[in-house]
Amino acid sequence: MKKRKKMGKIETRSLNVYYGGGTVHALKEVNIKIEANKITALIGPSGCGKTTFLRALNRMNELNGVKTKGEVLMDGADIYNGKVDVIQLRKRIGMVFQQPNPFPMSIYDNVAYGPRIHGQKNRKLDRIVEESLKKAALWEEVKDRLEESALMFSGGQQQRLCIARALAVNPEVILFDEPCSALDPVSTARIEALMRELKNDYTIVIVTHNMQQAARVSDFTAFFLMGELIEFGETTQIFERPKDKRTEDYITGRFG
Amino acid sequence: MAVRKEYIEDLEKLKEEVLRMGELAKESAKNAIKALVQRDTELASRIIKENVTIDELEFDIENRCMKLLALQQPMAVDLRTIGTCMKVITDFDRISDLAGDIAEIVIRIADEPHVKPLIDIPRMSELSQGMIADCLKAFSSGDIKMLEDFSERDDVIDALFDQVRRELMMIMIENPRCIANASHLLFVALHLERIGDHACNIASRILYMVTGEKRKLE
Repeated sequence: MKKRKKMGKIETRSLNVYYGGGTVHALKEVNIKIEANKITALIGPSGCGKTTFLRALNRMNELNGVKTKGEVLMDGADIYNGKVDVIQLRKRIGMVFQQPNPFPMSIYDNVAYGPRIHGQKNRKLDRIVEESLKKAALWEEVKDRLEESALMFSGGQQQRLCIARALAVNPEVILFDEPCSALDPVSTARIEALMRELKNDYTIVIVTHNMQQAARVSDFTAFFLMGELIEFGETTQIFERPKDKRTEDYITGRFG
Repeated sequence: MAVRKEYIEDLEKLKEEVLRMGELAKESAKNAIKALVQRDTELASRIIKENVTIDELEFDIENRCMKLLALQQPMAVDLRTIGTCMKVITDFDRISDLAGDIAEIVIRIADEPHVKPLIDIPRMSELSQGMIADCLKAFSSGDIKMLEDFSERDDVIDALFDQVRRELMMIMIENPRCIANASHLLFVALHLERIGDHACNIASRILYMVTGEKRKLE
């Protein structure tokens, strides 16, 4: 995979999300510009809308009959435009979830799964699998065990496998939904180091409940509360001198 | 119900201890000049002894800060408060050291009358104490209005120092037998000038603690 030029900037304009047949207004008029090749962390208490926001970025919400209004522009083009092919979109915007969720198949087949679906022929697959595993910092640990079931590996390894699987289809953006909440501190540190590596080639958005993690890894931080984007800025600014009292109350733990 | 109750109590206790240390440093500086004016060696000895208490307090406060940083991952205003505490205790410690140095001078020169009536030196001392007192008020209340004119107040102290220095030089030129006493007084004036600078440092840190902006006062 060669070095790509800066792609994958995302902008939302008056983004509103409703679910429960319109009874729950989960996101309210969210306007945000997410920079390419940066890590943006989304923080806020449970139910604040941060995961809904993350899932709006690759139209994952649609799977649950959620109504979305407003625009989500990826490199200037609205991903909610009727002409957008959702399968192609999700190829451009990969996702890694809270629980490592490898498919019950071999390491190799997990990583090759996406490229095969997108029509990749077998002779190129070996290279894609190797490069994806290398990028996910897993290659050295699994290179002699590629045919073993992914389920035989540790949680941290499985999560890196999921990252490799996301990378294999060559996305521009990777969405992380609490990627470390099921991992021990060492695996967490590995994933965080990996994210910092990956931002050179990808745009990364991460939802995390762990504020120290947001502070450690991200360049920008967005604070959500009750469906509203309260404050968005450089991570050092948000954690050292937040402008909004509500942000301050949340990050200093005086909330509620 | 406030969450993180113990943490918030620990932060409050930290601020109380810093205020206590500041108050002690201010008293030392005040008493040092009182001892000088009255040539009171007993008071001077007490100041030197109290320095130990202030040193211990500095260690204790530093430990509190390190513990909060290590265990609580403070953020935003809490982080700025702890950072400010760690910085200002150094200035308070220096102020008390300078007060101790003045006290030692008092002990050395108490036998003889001063070479001149002490007017500007007590004036410098009052001004610097006023600045420290305002720092302590601002630190405890978060009201930074009283810190705004610190640069000007420090300029007044600097000007007084220049005046004292010129005056003492003239005395030394005219009467070389006064050099010992006069040069000691010159050091006292210099120490007071330094105390004013430390007050400015402390004020800068408090401005940062309250506003999040770094601004140098000098």
